Amino acid sequence: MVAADARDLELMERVRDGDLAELGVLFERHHLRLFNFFRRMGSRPPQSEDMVQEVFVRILKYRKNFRPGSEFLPWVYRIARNVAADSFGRSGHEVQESAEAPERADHRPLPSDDLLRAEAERRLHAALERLPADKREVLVLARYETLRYQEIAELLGTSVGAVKVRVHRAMKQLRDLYRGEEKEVLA
Amino acid sequence: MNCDQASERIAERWRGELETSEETALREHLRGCPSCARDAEELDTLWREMVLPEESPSPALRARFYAMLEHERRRQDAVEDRPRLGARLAPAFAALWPRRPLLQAVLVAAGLVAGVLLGRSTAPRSSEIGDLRQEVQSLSHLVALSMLQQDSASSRLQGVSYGRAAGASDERVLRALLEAATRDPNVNVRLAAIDALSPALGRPALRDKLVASFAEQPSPLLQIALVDAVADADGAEARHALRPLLDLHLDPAVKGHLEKVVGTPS
Repeated sequence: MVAADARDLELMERVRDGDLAELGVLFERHHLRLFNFFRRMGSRPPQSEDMVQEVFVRILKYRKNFRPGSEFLPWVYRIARNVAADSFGRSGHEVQESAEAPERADHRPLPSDDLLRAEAERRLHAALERLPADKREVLVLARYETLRYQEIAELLGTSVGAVKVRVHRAMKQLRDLYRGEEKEVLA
Repeated sequence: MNCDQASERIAERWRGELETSEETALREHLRGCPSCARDAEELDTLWREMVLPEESPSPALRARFYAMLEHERRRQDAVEDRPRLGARLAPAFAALWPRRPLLQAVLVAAGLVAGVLLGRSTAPRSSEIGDLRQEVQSLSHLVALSMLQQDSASSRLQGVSYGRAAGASDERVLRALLEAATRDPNVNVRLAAIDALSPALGRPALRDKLVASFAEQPSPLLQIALVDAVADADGAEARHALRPLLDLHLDPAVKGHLEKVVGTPS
């Protein structure tokens, strides 16, 4: 186990044993990663913040369920997936990215030099949005998160081989959707 | 190797998980399969280019989280029968603020954090305001302690700010600030921590620990800052504590400054 994982484990075990202040350290270590996971899954910034908060509410609520010796990050991702499923289930459909100019979570104006890059990111977000939910999820986990394929497989309840094939197929579909977005822009 | 197997190997290659023993077999398959080869080239490019920058949430998220955490700590203490001064706060707040839980948490947390950051020093007008100050301090202690343990120097700097705002009342925060002043790998964090400790350096034990770190401070700038912080705290006693440092091998600028502060022996 790498040093960072061991530290997370130590902190979570203290939280489980009643030292709730240590959850603050876990928040500082992981809230950015979770926020960006929800953003890449298609939620807008305010909803992504709500979902990060909900993850930590559930970590507190279920702290006694954290088994000794288990790994912290895969457990947190399981919670995050459940939060996402509950949130998308409530809204009936996933939140769509706006077709308007890109925005930032902190609402500062974008420098004009960054607009082209921001447009490329918007197209990528739009293409990701159009992927079926299961393909989008496996691609976000594989491309942007630090979980190993083995951990993704355990999280999704499938085999490592199946994950890799799903990632490859998702990439092919993303390529086609991204090309579609480019054609719309150039048209 | 068939096309399905090649797809798995390519997925492994994207993440740097392809075994060396499989590389040759993959290359051979791509040489003999134009469709896989075309896909591999296009998808390799897309994988490399599908960079999404890391975004940051608004400051409200942190405020909401710490408000929630503090609420849960108070609830836990109440369950364990350890009364906290802030327990009387809840009814007073309930009368003052809207009865929508999320908005209430955000407003309370924002008010608590804003109050700390603005360095309010208004004398309490009532016992409820006194309780509020206790809760503000408790919240800032939590934030300071968490942020002082982060990997990024800018987060630790922010932790020092929260620690300074929390005041000299919490032993754990003082210990964390002392740790930052004497061991942090970043010079700016050390400087800020030395400055944040100033109000508490009238305490001999704390002052002596900081002075003991003088020789290990990695730059003359830090040594001068340390001398000034200690000297400002408690004139005569502080100069007495600093005098032995003159016997060390010192940078000329540091020596000159220390001599001015301490006074050279006659």
